[in-house]
Amino acid sequence: MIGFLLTRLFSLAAVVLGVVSLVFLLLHLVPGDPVEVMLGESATPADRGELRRSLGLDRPIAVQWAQYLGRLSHGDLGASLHSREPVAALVAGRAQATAQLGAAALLVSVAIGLPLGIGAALRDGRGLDRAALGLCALAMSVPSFWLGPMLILLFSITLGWLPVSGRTEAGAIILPALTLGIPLAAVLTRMVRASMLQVLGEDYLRTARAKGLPPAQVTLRHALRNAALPVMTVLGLQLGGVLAGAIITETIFQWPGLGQLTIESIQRRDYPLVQACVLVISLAYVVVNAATDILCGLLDPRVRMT
Amino acid sequence: MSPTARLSLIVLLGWTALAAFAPLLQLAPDTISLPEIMAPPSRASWLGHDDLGRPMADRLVYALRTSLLVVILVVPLSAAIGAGVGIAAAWRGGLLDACIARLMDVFLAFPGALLAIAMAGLLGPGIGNVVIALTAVSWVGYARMARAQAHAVKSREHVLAARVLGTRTPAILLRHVLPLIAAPLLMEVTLGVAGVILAEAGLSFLGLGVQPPSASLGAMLRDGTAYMLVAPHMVIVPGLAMLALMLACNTLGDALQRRLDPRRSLSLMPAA
Repeated sequence: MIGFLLTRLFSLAAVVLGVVSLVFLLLHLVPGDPVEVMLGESATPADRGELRRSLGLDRPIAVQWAQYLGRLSHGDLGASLHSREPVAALVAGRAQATAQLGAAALLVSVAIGLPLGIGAALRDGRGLDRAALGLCALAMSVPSFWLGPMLILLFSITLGWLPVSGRTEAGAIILPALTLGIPLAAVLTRMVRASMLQVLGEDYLRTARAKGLPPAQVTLRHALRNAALPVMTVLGLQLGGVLAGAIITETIFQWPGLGQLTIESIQRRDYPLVQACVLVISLAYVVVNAATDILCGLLDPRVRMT
Repeated sequence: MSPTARLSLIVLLGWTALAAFAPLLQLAPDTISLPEIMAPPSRASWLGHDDLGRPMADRLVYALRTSLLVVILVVPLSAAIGAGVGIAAAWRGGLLDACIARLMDVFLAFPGALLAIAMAGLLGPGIGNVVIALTAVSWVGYARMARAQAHAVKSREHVLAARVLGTRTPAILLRHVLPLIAAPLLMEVTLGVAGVILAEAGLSFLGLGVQPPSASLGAMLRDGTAYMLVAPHMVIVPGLAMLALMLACNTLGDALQRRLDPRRSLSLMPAA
C-alpha cells in the first residue's frame, strides 16, 4: 500500500517537473525577441535592456530555467506586464470562479449521466437505450462554442429566463455549467451504461435477484457499486477536458475565471500571465488525475498491482 | 456497414469533394455587398449573408476548405511523427524508450486544448502556426498508441525470424511491424480528424487561428455569436455544418472501432 503511494507520488513529482519545464519553454516560442514584442517599436534601448534583465532573458537558458524553478518554489510567478500586479494574486483571484464553474459542470454531468446511463443499461437495446445513445452521439459532437450561443439564444433571448453572461446576476452560472456539463454528461452516460451492462451479467447479480432482493437495491447497491470504478477513472480524466473547455466557455459567457484570463493575457501579450495561467490549469489537471488514480487504488486492490 | 455509418461516409466524402473542388465552383466568398448586410436566407441565396453582406453559402464552402487543409496537414504529420517516435522507442528500448516515455507523460499531462491555445497564442495567428500548434499537441496520442503496439509486436516470432535472416532494420519495421499496428493507428486517425476540425475551429473562434478575410468555421461562429440577436442565421448555419461534420467523424470512428475491436464497443472522444 505504502509502496503503491510512493511510486505514484514519485511519478507525479517527475511529471510536475516536466510540466513546469515545458511551460517555461513556452515563452521561448514567441517569434523574434519577446522583449521587442512586449514593448513595441517605440521603446528605447535602455527600456529594452531593463525589461530583458528583469525577465532574466540576458542569461543562458539553463540559468533562466533554474531561476524560474527557484522563484516558483517561493510561489513567485512574476509580475503582470500589463497591470504590474503580482501574477500569483491575479491567478488566485480567478481560480475560484473556474473551480466553481467546474464543480457546477460536474454536478450537471452526474445529475444527467448517472440516471440516464443506468436507465439505458436496464433497457438495453430498447427505445430508451437507443434514444439515450442518440442523444449522447449528438452531445459529444456539438462544439461548445455553438452549444453556448444556442443556449443563450433559447434561454436568455427567446425565453428571457436566464442572464446572457457575467457572474453577478442570480442564475448566471446555469448556462455556462450546462455548456460545459452536457458533453461530459454524454461521456458519463456511455461509460455508466457500458460498465453497468458488464456488471449486470455477473453471477452475483443473478444470485441477488434470485434471493428476492428488491430491484432498486440490486441495481443501486450490487450493480452500481461495482460499476463505479471505471466510471470514476473516466470522470477524473475528463475533468481535464472540462478545465480546457472552460477556456472557450468562459470566453462565451464572460465568466471571470482562469480561462478568460488566459485569453485576455494572450491578447495583451502579457507573457508572464499566460505562463502562469497555463501552469496553474495544467497542474490542476495533473493533480486531479493523480488523485483519481490513487483513489481508485485505495478503493480497488486490483489497481495497486499494476 | 450500418446505414448511419454509410451516411457518415457520404457526409465526409461530400465535405472532401466540396472543399477540394471549391475553386471550380466560381464562388465569391469575399465579395462585400452593402445592401445585403445580414440578409436572412432567401430563394436567391439559400443561407443568407453575413455582417459584411458576403454570401454565407460561399463562405461556408471556403471555411470547410480551411478545415480540410488543416486536417490534411496536421493529421498525417502528427501520425507520422507519433508513429515514428513510438516505434523507435519500442524498438530500441532501454534509455531512449524510458526518456521518450517520460516525455510522452509530460505532454499527456497537459489538457491538449490548453497547450494548443497557449502555443498558437504565443506563436501568433495564421494557418501555419495553427498547424504547428496542433501537430505539437496531437503527435503524442499516436506515439503512445504506436509504442504500446510495437512493444507487443516486437517479440513476435515472424519479427524474430526476419532478424535472424539478417533483414535490415528499416525493412523489418516497414514490412513486419508497421502493417500489424496500422489498424489501431487508423482508428486513432479517424478520431484525430474530428479532434483537429474541432481544435482549428476553436482556435479561430478565439481569434488565434485563421485570419480574416479567410473563412473558417470558428471565425464564422464568432462573428455569428456577435450578431446573434439581429441575424441568428449567422450562428445557426456554420454551427449545423460543423455539427454534421463532427457527428459523421465520430460515428465513423465508432463503427471502425467496433469492427477492429468488438470487445471495446464504446469510444471516448479525444478531450477537446
